[in-house]
Amino acid sequence: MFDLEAAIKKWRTGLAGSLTLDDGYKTELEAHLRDKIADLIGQGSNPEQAFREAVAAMGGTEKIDAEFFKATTTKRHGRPSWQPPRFMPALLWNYVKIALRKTRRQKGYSFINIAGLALGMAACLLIISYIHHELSFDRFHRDADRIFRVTIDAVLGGNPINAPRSPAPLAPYLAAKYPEVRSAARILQWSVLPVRHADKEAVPANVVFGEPSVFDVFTFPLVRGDARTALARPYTAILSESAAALTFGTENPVGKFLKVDEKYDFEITGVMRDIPQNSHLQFDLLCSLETYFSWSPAMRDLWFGNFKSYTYLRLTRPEARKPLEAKLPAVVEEKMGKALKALKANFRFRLQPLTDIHLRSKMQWEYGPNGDILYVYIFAAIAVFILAIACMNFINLATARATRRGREVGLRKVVGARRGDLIGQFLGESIITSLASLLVAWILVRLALPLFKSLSGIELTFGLRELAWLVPVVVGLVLVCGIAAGSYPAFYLSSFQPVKTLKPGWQGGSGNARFRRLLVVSQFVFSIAMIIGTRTIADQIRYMKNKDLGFQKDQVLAIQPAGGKDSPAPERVKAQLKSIPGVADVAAAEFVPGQDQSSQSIDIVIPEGYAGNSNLLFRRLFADADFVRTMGMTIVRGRDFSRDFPSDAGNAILLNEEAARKTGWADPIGKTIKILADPKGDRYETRTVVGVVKDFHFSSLRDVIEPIWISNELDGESFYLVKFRTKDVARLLADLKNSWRALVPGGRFDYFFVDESFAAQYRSEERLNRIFSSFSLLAVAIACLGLFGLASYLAEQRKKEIGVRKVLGSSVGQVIGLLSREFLKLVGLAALIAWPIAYFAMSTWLRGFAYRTGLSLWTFLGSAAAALSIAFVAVGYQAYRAGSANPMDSLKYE
Amino acid sequence: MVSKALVAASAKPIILSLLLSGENYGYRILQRVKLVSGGVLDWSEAMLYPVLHRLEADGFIRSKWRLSDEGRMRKYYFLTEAGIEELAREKAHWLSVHEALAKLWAPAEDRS
Repeated sequence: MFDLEAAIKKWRTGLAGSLTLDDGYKTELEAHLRDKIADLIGQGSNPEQAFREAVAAMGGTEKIDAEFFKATTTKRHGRPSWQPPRFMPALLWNYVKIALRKTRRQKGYSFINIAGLALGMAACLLIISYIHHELSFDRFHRDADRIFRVTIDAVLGGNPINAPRSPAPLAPYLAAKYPEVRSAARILQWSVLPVRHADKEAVPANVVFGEPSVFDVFTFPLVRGDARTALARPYTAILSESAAALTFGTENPVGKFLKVDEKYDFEITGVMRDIPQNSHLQFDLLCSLETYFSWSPAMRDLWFGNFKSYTYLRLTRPEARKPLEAKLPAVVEEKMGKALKALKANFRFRLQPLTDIHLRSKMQWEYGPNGDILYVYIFAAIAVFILAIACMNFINLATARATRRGREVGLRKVVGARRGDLIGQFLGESIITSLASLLVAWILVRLALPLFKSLSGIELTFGLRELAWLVPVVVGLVLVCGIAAGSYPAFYLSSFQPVKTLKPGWQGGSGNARFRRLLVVSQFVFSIAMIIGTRTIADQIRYMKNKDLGFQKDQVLAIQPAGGKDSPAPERVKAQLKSIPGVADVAAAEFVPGQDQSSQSIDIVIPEGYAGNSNLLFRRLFADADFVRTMGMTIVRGRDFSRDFPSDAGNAILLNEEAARKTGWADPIGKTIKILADPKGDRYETRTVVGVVKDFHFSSLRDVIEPIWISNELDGESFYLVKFRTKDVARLLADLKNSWRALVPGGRFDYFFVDESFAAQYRSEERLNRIFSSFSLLAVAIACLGLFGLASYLAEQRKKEIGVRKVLGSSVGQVIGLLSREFLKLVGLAALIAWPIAYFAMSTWLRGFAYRTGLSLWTFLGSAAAALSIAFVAVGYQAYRAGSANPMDSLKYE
Repeated sequence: MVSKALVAASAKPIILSLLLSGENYGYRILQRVKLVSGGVLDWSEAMLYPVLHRLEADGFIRSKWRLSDEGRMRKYYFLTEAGIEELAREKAHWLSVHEALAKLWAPAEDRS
């Protein structure tokens, strides 16, 4: 029960310390306090509340003293003589000396603090640089916010098309017609081709076509040559600085000739500075667009039927985007209306901000592989977690070691330090520690850069240009770490009462044990969740790589279509290739698994007797009679195409299981299917189903298996698929190349292995996994470092207890159990919390895959087991040391 | 929020004016000030008493202890002759300041 009189009496005793209050003054204040309390109670407060409020309003003696000083002093500024100055320079040296002495005396503790923080900061710096790199894409262009890319959003003949390409005549048309389009530029990709100057060795170069306005839209500075005229004529080209150095050495390339693809001679009319890494446009050689038009003159004015060029617009203002976008349907109507109507197509142009391309664009036919904003978020979260784990170490160790500084705090307070001074001192110490950690972190980052490059494929640089953003980041990091890690210990330590800490035999609170447990648990929640994430990503990658794809992807090589009108007849090529030793089978097909399937056509089909309401859409694949056998696919019903049935060609089709299911037939063999042959919707072709092939994955396991029909015919250019059975792949390649050269004179021999190209689809997942696993390893390491330090401290604190236990017959094992039990319990609790979090996060991630592995129970149990065993090693070592020490040493009195 | 400097400068004339209507004690003074100013002036206890003591030391007010109705010892303050004179001076100063400001803030056509 609250005793008002006692409280007031106690309060009045508290005034005794004041230098200005005489007894009368105190009585006056007491009367005031009582008046106020009586008033407050009259207003409905209870006595305790009223007392607290009144005392709070009155302020402490310090405040009254200060006001008294102000009211009586003749000095305009100044501090009462009994108050210590706000800042004492003489103490500064003492602070530094004490901090250094502490660091030196407690080497292990300082090492754990600095190492943990340094590791966390290094990881954080790397991730921040990575995020900065990702976010900086295409921002180096002058007025990057005014540059837009024209994209297509359409449905053509049942095919949804979402692509960043547009018809060639669009750019000049928009630039001429709309004043808000300051300039428009087209870029067309050619290929990676060998380029060579005179008799020097050919080097591969990424070659594209572009027009002079590329230099108006983008900021690509020329080192030599004139941007306005360099690309005006056919067969002129601008070379990048590094490609120029490779092909021409130290010579000035301007005016000289470069042989591209061993065929065409281009005059070099300019040299441009290398394109920065953070540009989505990448090329080494920019050939004049006029060259391309001289080869295909029809393209210059072809609005429909050719979407090859990337069109970029520089607008006068960023806000002009929406109004301009609204005017584009009129352009579509005027220039392409007729063709689109015939196709019943939906078609519109959109304007995509240049700076969105890298992280927010996932269309078909992108210029190159883009990043993903999701991964930016994931890594930002990881950076925060790792830094938090490192800061928690600091907090835990600092509060656990608080006893050691109790006397210092007490003494400082006795000689006049106020709480604020102590908080300043401790915060200063933690900021200095975090500064020291930063220096170590910087060295770690420099060392880790090559490793990071091999993990992520991104080359981060820390040059002068990066300093502009790096310095604020680093200063922020030091302050955030210093304050986040230092503030709790500072407030905790500064709250000590000298009367207690200076008493002999003060054992001290060993920090707030509950708070410390909370921190340990959260550290391990992060760590365990990250271990589960790593395992699950790895599981999914393994699943995707090992899943039965429905065809044999190993030992199959695909040769790119030869190109050109005079490509030889497929039968001739196949016969020639098949005669090479080591080649088991050769087939020709329109598409190859693992390649971009977006241009594959989708047909409207009507199966015989089909009763469904909606149209059926089947993907089409043109292949020859050897395709199914060569790819090792399985026929589940009926038969494969065969040359024994001459009627097969152009008539017989195979369905995959999915397509057969969609038709609703009980037995598909011999049934007919009508396929819309003409987009106008009035002509159907009828085909007969001769077999059903087992479902196969033609694209990444992210996508579901779609219904597909395979037609026994070849139309246009085909890939050649070569199934080989030989260990001597080098010789096989040489033989294939020779035969190919003989078959297609002057044609390029471009090939890839189907298994590799299939695996390449999972590159981004593999990259994610590598980075994720490294950082989760780091997180666990930092957490364990902290645990190690904490355990060593607690073992030391219980030294006497352990000594007594041992004297009374405890074994080393029992001591280890005693000391590790608490920590293991905490880690176990962390696992229980981490599981649902990880379960939710990882099932969300897995949902992005049509074919996915389940979340394995073992992953979850394993993560906990791993965390427990690592924690046990960290704690157990300390516990063993404590347990095996001679009890005499700890029990001997001083 | 009235600035610290203004609060400090106005404390003296306000206290003297309040005491003009009769003797009073600290807690009541504080409440009166708050009431009269419509809550704009909310002095802290820590500030009031030092000012009272200062005014007493300067001879403008005097104090005496008296037993209140509730049976509590209270220190009452009242004006001295010097205090009344000082208040007149203060009043003159504040009025002239007030007059000057009023002129400056008056609509333009009223100014002659």
